[in-house]
Amino acid sequence: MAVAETAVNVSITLESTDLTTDALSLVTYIDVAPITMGGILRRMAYRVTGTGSAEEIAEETHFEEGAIIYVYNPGTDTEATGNITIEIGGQDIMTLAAGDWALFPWSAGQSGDDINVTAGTSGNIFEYGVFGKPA
Amino acid sequence: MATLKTTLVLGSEKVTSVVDLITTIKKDLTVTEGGILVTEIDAVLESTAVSIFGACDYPLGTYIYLKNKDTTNTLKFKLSSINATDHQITLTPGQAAFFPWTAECPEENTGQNDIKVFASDVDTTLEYGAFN
Repeated sequence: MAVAETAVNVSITLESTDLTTDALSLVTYIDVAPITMGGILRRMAYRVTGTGSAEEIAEETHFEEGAIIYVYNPGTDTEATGNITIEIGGQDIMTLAAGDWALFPWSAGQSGDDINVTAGTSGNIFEYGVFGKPA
Repeated sequence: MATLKTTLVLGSEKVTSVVDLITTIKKDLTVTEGGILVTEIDAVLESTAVSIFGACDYPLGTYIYLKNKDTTNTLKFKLSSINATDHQITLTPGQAAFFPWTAECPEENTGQNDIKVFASDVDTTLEYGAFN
């Protein structure tokens, strides 16, 4: 059965009045190709960063290139113990402190480029979403 | 010290059968360095991808902003040294990314953990920034 296509609407805003001489005010709207699968989940990360294998949250063979990845650390622990780390292709790439978020269009579809997660402390909660089309 | 206010809005209708999805996240970042630049990318092969951020030049948690300003060409970004022939982020025209970078500086730095980019054609316009 064919699945109806839908869209994801994303905007990223960066603003600062005191970083540079001229105020920075940037709003970018991201065009996302029609998608057929996606959603947001919240779960715990059990594997601790630097102590072994990470937990997979997106398998590269399941998505077409360009799938949108969203990850958010809703925690309040501002020490390293509160971090969520995203590993791509076997290497730690992004470190989300409490309140941090990441959004990027993922290459997917390549050998070894799964998206995995570890935590500063086992049981840290994170939120994530993948929006795209099946490979 | 300065403040960088960041906001992400992500929404989708009918992606699930329950409700329309909309999420908004705001975070004010305390930063001392940063800004946004525009450059043209001429490298068109993965093997000749150019470094735009050196892993040893930035601290853990530096926030990276990337946007493909081109109207036709695609930009591909290499973030990992594990798979030398792979890239991990693909920006089609108009797409953008924002994330806190681990910036892991290896003991023997040969640029293997730098963020590198190549394009589907020469003269592809990239907007990029780093904040820390």
